[in-house]
Amino acid sequence: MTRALEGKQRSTGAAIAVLVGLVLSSWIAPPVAGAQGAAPNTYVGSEVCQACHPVPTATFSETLHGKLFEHEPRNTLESRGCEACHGPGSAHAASNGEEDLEVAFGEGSPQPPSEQNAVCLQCHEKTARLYWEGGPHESRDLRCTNCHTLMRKVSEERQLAQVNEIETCGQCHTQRRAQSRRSNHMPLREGQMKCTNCHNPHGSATPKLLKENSVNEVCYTCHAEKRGPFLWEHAPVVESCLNCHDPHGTNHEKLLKVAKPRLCQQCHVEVFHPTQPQTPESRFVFNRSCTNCHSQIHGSNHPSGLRWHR
Amino acid sequence: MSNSSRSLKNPGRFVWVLGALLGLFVLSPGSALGQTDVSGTVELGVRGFLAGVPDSARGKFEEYRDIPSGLFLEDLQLRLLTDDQRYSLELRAQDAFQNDQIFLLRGSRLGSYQLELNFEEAWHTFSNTGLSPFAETGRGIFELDDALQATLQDTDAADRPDILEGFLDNNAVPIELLTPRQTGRISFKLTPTPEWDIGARWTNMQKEDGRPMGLTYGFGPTTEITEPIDQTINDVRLSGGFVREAWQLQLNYTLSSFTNNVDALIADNPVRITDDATAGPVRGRLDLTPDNIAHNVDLAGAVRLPLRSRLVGTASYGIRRQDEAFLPHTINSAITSPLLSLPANSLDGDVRTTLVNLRLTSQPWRKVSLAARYRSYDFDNQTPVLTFPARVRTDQRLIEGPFENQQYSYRKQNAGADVQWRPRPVSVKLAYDWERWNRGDTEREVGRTDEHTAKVSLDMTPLDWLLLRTSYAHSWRDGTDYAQVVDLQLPALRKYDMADRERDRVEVLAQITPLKGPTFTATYSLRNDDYDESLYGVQDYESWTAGVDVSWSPSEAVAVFAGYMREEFDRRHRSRYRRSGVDTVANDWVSRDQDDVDTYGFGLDAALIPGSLNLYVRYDFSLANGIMLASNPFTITNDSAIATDFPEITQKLHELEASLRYPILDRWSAELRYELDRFDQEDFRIDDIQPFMGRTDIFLGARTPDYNASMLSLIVGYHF
Repeated sequence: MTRALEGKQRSTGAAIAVLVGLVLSSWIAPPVAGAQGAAPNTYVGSEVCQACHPVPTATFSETLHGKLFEHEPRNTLESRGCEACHGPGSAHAASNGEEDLEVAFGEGSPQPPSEQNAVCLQCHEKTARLYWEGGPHESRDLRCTNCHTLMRKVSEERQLAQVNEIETCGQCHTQRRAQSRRSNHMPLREGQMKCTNCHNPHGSATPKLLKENSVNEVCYTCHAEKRGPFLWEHAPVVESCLNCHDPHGTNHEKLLKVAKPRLCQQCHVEVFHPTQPQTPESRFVFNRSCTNCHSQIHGSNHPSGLRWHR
Repeated sequence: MSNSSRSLKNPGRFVWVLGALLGLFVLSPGSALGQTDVSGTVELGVRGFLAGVPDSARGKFEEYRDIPSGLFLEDLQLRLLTDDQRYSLELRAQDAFQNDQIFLLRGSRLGSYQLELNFEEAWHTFSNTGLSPFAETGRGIFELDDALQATLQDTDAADRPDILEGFLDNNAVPIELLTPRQTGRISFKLTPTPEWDIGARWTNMQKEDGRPMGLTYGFGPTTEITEPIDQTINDVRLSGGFVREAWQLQLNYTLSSFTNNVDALIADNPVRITDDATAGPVRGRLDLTPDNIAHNVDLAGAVRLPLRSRLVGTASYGIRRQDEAFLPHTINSAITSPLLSLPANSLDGDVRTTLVNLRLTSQPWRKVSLAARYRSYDFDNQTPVLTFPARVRTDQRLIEGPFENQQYSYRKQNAGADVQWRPRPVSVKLAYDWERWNRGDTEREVGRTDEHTAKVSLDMTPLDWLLLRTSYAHSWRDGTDYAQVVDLQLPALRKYDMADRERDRVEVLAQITPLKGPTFTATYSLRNDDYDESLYGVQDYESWTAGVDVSWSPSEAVAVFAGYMREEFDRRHRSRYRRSGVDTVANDWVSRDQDDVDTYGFGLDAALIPGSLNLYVRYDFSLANGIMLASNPFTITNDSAIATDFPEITQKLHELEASLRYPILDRWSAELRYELDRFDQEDFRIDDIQPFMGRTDIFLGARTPDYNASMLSLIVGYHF
């Protein structure tokens, strides 16, 4: 290798190193809070905010956060009112709003979602939010304000961005919202259930943000009769209710994924009637189909219940 | 009979609940504080049916709800708030005195504690067309007229159906097929300091009445009766959590107990008046779901680490027990054998579950996030394996064994890692995930499966008004050798939950929000499963959905929403007709099951006269078509192998609500509401179901007839 080539390689390496260094430094550098040399931003109190923003401060005061911050602050942060979340407002106030707030929320905010969410997580990174970081919603850059509205009361519970949970979650999960409109559905639209009966949208230790340790454990919350253990178990039932059911809604009875008898026939190719394609008028097809006889398909505790007839 | 009138059979319960809640409300410390603000809402309405729903169709119409005609209390809210805003007490009642009533009483001190009492009632109505000739002479004991049984036993088999049909025509009487569920809940949350969270919750759920259930007496008659339901679930949850800036801990305990107050269902066999060891029993006995109990304790925590890293983990341990006494093998007195002695009095069922979950996240550079995760869920079924020398099939016939119960255990492990780069306005994530199921070689066909998934997500906001979220994932699942565990099973079958599989998934969401204009949301998803190694069983499954939503608020006075979603599901599986001596590829058949669903939605919320007259409209329409096609790829050798298409199953559900709301005077409001609910279904399996369907079977005739209801309501509200 010639010296000229070695020199070129060295200089190329140095250039790459400088470039990488610059890129890394841009990543590592903390966010710039304000223009250098400007007066330090200080807290001015919610009364100052109210002077220019009377409507949002009034609606905010009717919310749980508003009441807590105003009437029963438990620490210094909460006692700062508007500035507890938006940061010190002196520069914003002094510039008649020309200077941006340190933290703004929502679509048009200059702060990335993670910085917006960090404000909420100062107080809320506990209990149900334990698994927020690294969870599916956090990693897709959802903001807390995608689902929650703090400045006014929109929903009866949880300060949701929409009137109820299914509308809130349905903003992105449009298929799930559509499934809830089907004729075979869980009673969400009747108000007897909510998405959060089964899911924790903030993250959980279980895939699909389930609140319990497995799919079945979620279902057992209301269907504890299916929990067993039974003398005669049905293996796919033991492993996951989702092998046969889609709880979000289907066009088949009992929220089944596939109509009976085809559902059962996907796996049962033993002999005799399970292997028969059947005709529409067959007693193996109409009414309850396979479960006309195999009524204990979720498990039986009867000594002679081997085939789930008893 | 309408469902709403049924609620009157036990009015005392509702009065008790409301009285208790009101009593607590009045006697609560909050109301005794003197200086309080009182506010609330009472909305009382009257409803009339312009087009009524026949009683036969109310089962589906009121499947999970109660829509009475006449007076109804839609909403009741009372709030007490002390002048210093610290203490509050709130009572809410929704649809009070109806079958779907919900009550909530909540007392709290701001930022300190909260006590909640809930009472919810939900009726699940299965059908209003049920007819049954059985008389329930004791809870869970269903008897037929002895004369019928005697007659049918003494009649030639060919003549029995006519006799039974005549009997059912005259003796099948209406029965209720519904399961009311009542749930009471008390929960208490305490936050002594912002660092502490302590909670306790007790939930009591009662389920009553019954739902359709089948009972067979061999390949002879099959009957359908009402499963008697008298079940109680009690859940207790205790939780505690402590958080510091750098770490936090949570400890939770859950107890769940299930009690069934009816142990067995006994129903007469229509064709037997005497027990016989081959012809069948006088009665059949079915074991109803046994009592069980479950405990779970879990410890979770998180700790902050250098490089903006965080480790979060959960360790959880659960125990499930079930030890209800076994019933005898049969109620058929003609079948006696020393082989029918039970190896144990009860199962001593015992399952242990262990969960370990760890997640490490890190943001070593501002725009780069890393995550790694591991999860193990171990389902260890320690229930003893019992050996039964014989069994009695459907109380009809002794079958010698031995038979052993199989207890399935499994362990499911997941691990994965991802790296995410967020150079705004783009976010790219590359992820790899692995899932392993260990099932045990002897219980299931595949001892171990490994599924690998590679996923890339690309989210971007290239313009202020455009958000794109896209992802693609490819998975491939391989298992250890597929070994037959049931002697009669077709060896070449691959069950879809364990079979080798390739899966592709695509998801796209685009949200366009022009400045202060309407928001358009378009979604598309595709899932394609290939089971290329499966000669029999599910061959492939493909589904896709596409939808578009538009929402727009041109002014503060108007909000409009419209949406459409198309979903298609297409699954193909292959099977073979088989019986003793007949097992040839010529009798193969292929089924293709397709479901198409279209969902339309529209909403309008408009202030026709700002601050005064408001119009609200909501319309949803779901149209679902399901079809099961079947064909034989070869020339069959046995008529039982003939595969034919089944008739299409369709469901159409329209729901329209339109209301005008107008404030009268200062505190009063009036709302005129029109509702249209229409349901049309064609399902060859149940459309014509009657108690008599030929042979000597007895069904309930539980159908869900179409309905076309339109209602007009006037609701007067008082707000204070």
